[in-house]
Amino acid sequence: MATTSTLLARIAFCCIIHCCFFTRDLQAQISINAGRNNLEISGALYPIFNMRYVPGSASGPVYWPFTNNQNADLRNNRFEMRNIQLNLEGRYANDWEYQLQINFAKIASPDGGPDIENPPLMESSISYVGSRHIKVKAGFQKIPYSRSSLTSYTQMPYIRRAEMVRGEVFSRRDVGVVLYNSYWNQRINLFAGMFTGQGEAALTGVNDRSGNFELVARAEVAYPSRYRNREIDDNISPVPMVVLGVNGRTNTRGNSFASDSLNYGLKNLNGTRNMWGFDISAQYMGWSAQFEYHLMNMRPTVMADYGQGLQAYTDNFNAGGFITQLNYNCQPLRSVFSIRYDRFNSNDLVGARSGEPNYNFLSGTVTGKAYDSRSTQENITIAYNLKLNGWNSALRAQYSQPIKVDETLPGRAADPQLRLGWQYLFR
Amino acid sequence: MSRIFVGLFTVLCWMMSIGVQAQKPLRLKPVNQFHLSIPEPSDLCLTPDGAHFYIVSDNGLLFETDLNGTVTRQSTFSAYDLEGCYADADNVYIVDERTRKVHLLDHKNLQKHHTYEVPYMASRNRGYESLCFNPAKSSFLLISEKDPSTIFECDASWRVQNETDFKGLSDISAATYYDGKLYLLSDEAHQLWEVDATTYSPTRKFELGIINPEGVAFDKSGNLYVISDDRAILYHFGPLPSPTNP
Repeated sequence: MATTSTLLARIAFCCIIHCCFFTRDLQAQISINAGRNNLEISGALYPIFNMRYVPGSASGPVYWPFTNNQNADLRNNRFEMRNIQLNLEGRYANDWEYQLQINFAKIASPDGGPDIENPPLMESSISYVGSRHIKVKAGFQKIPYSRSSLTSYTQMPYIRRAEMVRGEVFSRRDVGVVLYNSYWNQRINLFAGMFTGQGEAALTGVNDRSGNFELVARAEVAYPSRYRNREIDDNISPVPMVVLGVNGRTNTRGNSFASDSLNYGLKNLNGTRNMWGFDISAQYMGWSAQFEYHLMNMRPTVMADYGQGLQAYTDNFNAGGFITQLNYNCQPLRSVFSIRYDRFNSNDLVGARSGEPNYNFLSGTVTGKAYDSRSTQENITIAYNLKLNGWNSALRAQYSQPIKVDETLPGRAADPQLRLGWQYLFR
Repeated sequence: MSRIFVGLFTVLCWMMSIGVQAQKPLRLKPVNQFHLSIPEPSDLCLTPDGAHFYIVSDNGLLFETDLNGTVTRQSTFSAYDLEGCYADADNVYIVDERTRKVHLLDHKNLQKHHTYEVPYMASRNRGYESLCFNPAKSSFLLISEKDPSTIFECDASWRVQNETDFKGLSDISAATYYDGKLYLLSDEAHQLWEVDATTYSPTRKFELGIINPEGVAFDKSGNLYVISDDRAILYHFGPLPSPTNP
């Protein structure tokens, strides 16, 4: 057995060396012109290996949150296809654009439902860009909120996004319409959108019982030139560049708590959720850094959903946190190094804020008013990327170490995880 | 175990060797800069009389400006994504990256009178990024931006006669011929490379230190001009240092 493993390890090592030397010119790019139509076909393959250091315990396996799926033991290592992606981007003259982006890898997920961070349908939108005054985009698309969420996975050094922006706390995609425009040579970008508010679940085609829509707005200002949605300073900026973004969203839902219980109970709140945040990104000479902050105020229709007895104290609670990240693109080594720290509090009534009731999510009891931080989680993550052929063929590694786990939610991995991936883009 | 370390050390040395192969480029500093009222300018070329520039934009528009970048005329013809331009006594030549078409326009009224299609199978933004004329080979040059950067030599009917993959620069965003040399501009590396017009082998390299350089031209006095697309600025660098006295 050991001989077989050694042999396999050697084969894998040789394959990696082969990739380093011989895949630099592999391309598959297609663009078709027909009259005023132009259609571009591209895609991505992204296999990953996930080594989970979750130890076995006396209480048995760790299942997918809130489910009893006996096949989804979170302790086990796994191979996964992060992306099997087909992307069709079309343009008609200079006035219309359309995009269909499908990720076949996420047609099913371990818990049987749609994958939140990577839904099977990533984009299905039509844009009118023929007016210099206003542009319109309609369809299933990314919500213009949070720079980290808006940045494509191909332009970030990590395989997995930070917990707060990966789609479990707030929806990243939805069906709706966005008005947007750019000014000052694209240094200023403004977005205003209206969505179903159902997030990725909007693809079922029904609104919830409230019938309300979610309103979103975002503004970005960059200097000294436009700033693309990238976390890595790919072009080794010869002058310092910075962009500041401010965004907000408001939503009143009528969903039952159970419909959102796979997450933190925040994404499709039964009640009103107001949310705002800001982000700043800078880059210079290969170095780049990001900081992002979010604050959510929740006014649940049924406060008891978030803790029996809490309604006696207040009718609202806050959630939020921040992400900070530092990256270095070392061109001679064709390598990108990154370190990220993220902190997220899913309910300030449960922890962190002194003088408020401490609610024990597991036992369902209010335990007192002393300070604790059970609903806060903190993670530190490092990443290494080796560009074999730019980002078209790149090996990626990510090691995440939870510093503090949200103790109010069961099934959350409390131990470090290693992810290794090979991103291959044909575009 | 030791074999693994030897293997890793070899790979590391190979990767680091990539970084030391390159010769250090000369740093150029602009002596002046002019803000353009042209959206996303992507290339420029000198008019035959030497008094103006033609500037094309990513929005498919063609402008004529003075040497300070002030717009004097705009063509009513519009394409989709113009990335390269060149002018001789007869025509203005502009290339549309998206449609892979070269349009010929008249100097007097800036109206299109001929279009040639030069097919190239690649994604929308990986088409022809540069256009110029190379007297050393009596050929028009069309150059793809990256993956790979290929120099296509075309005859007067825009039929491809030869092609050469250019190695060394991560991309080529513009090209121009001046005083017996070909000059290739890189957006991602922020560098201008002087290359032999016949063999395309590099002879000198210059560091520009500006964001998103997309167009390059020389005036009749040998002053270097470079356009920044993202900043919509025309940089005037002055003459290049002579090879013997950098």
